[in-house]
Amino acid sequence: MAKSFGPPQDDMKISVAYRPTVHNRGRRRALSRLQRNRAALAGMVVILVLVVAAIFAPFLAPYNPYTVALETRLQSPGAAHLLGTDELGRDILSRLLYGARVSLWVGIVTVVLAGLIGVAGGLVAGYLGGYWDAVIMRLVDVFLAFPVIVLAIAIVAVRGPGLTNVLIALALVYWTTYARVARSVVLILREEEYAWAARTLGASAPRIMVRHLLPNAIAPLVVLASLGMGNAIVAEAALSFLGLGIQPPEASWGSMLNVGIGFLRDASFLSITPGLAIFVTVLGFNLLGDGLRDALDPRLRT
Amino acid sequence: MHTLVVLLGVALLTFALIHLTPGDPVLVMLGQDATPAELERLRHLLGLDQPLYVQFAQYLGRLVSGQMGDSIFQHQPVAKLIGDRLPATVELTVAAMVIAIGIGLTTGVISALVPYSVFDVVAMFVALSGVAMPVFWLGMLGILLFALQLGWLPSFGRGEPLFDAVGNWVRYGDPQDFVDALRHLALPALTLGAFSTALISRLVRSALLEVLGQDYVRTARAKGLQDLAIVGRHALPNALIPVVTVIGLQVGTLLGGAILAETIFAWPGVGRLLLQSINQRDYPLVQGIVLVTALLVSLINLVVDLLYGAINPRVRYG
Repeated sequence: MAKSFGPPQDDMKISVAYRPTVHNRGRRRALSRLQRNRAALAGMVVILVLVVAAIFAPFLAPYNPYTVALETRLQSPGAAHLLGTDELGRDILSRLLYGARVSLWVGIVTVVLAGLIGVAGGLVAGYLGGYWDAVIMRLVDVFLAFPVIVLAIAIVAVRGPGLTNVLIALALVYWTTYARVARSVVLILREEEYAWAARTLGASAPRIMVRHLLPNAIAPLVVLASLGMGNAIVAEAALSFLGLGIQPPEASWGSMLNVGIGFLRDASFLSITPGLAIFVTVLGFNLLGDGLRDALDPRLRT
Repeated sequence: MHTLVVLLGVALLTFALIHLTPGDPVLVMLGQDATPAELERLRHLLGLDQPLYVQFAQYLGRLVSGQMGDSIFQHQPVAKLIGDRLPATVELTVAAMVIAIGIGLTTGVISALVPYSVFDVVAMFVALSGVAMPVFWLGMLGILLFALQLGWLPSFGRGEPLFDAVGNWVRYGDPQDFVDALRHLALPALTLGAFSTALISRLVRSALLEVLGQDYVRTARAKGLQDLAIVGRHALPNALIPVVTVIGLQVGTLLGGAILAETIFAWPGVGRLLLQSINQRDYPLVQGIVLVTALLVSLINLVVDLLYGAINPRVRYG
C-alpha cells in the first residue's frame, strides 16, 4: 500500500490469514503464480527500470545533473534537453536519473533498518511473550499514535534535514509494521511441532527464534518489504518536498517538486516528470507487493 | 488503562523529541550569535537546566492542566496558537473524510455488485492509481488543471470558515460566502481525500465480494429478497466491519496528509503552523503540534474501538 504515508492496514490481513505452508513445492507454486500475474510482472518491470536507472545514472544521464547553466534555464522539453531544464539550467532528465539513486537507496535502507528493528522486536514479543510482549507492543502502540508523516517530520525537524536523518526518521516510523506482523506470525509458529522439538532438544530461545521461526516467517515479511519500499520512497519525497529531506543541490524527486511548485504557472514541466517518477515507482512496488501476497498466500486473493 | 499507558508514552516520546537535537537544543534554537546570557535565560525558561525526570514531571504537570508552554518566537501560549489553527485543519480533514467515505463506499459497492464490468475495471484502475499517488503531486496537478488552465477554482487560500459561511447563509439568505468557502475547500479536500477514497473503495469491494459469497446471502436470496434488501440489510453491514477499522486508521493518515495539502494550498491550518515553527526552530510549538496530533489520533482510535464493539456483536469489550 503505497498509501502515501498511512498507517499499515495490510499487515493484519496478511498475518491473520497467514499459515506457514511455504516449503519447497509451495515456493515453486508461488513463483509460477507470480509469473502468471501480469500486474505483478508490470511492477517488476518498473522496479527493474528504476534499478537500472539508479545504477547506470552516470552513463545514462546526458548531462551532469549539477552543472548550472543560467543561460539555458527553464527550457521546455526539446531536442537538446529531452525533459527540459530547471530553474538553474540543469538538465531535468539527468536529475531524474540521479534522483532514482536517492529514492532506491532510501527505500532499501529504510526497509532493512525498519525490518531489522521491527522483526527483532516482533520475534521477542511473540516468542517470549509476557512482560516482553507487553512492553514492546505498547511501544508499537505509542509509535502508531503518531501519523507517519508527522513523526517523520518531527524527527527530521529536531535532527536537521539531510539523507542520514531522513533514513533514521523513516526507520523509526516504519518499524512498527514489521514488529506487528513478525509477532503475529511467531505466535502461530511457536506452537508448531518443529518448534516444540527444538525446545525439547534444548535449543536456546534466540536460536529457535532466528534459526527455526524466522525462516518460516519470511513470506509475509517479503510482502511487507515490497509495499514498504513504496511507502519509504513516497515519504522521503514528501519530506524533501517540504524542504526537510534531501538538500540542494542533491537531486531528489521530492526536492525537484519543491522547486517545481514555484513555477507551476510558467514551467509546469518542472513538476510533471518528477511526480510521475514517484507515482510510477510507488505503483510498481505496490503491484509487486500485491502480487507477492497473492502468490505466497492464495487464500487472500481478491 | 491501555489508552492511558499509550498516552503517557506519547507524552514521553514528544518530550524526548527536544533531546534528540544534535548538540545543545537552546543553541540550535537561538543560533550561534546568541549571548551566553540569552542561552541561559531560554534554558531556564524551558526548564532544560533541571534533571530529566524533573523536566518530564513538570511537562506532564503542565499537560494535565492543559498547558504546553509558550512559543519562543511568537510569544504566545502554544495551546492558543494551535487552538486558533485547529478548526481550519479539522474542516479540511473532515471534508476529505466525507469525500473518502462517500465516494469510496459508493464506488466500492457498485464495483462489488458488478464485478469485472467496465465500471469495476475502470474504478479499480483509478483506485489502484490513487493509492500510489503522492498527495503533494496530486495537489499540484489539481492546481494546474482546475485553477491555472480551466480557472474554475481558486489555487490557494481558505474562504470563510465553513460553519460561519453556513451561518451567514441562514442569517442573511446570501449563499455567497458559502459558495466561496466550498470553492476554496474543493481542491484541497479532494486532494487530501484521494488516497483514502481509493483505499476505502478497494476495501469495500473486496469485503463485499467476500460476504456476497456467504451462505446466509444465498439463503436470503432463496427467500426471495430483493437485491437491494440483501445488500443493504445483510451483506453491507457485515462487509463494513473491517472497513470501519480502516476508516479509523485513515484519520491519522489524513491528519498527516493535511500538512502536505495545507502547504500546497496555503491553507491556514496546523500543518502550516508546524512547518513554520520548524523553520523558526520553535521547538515548544513543534512539540505541542506533534502532541496534539497524536492525542487526536489516539482519541479517534478509541472511539473507533468502541464503535467496533457496537457494530460487531462478536467483539465484546470487558
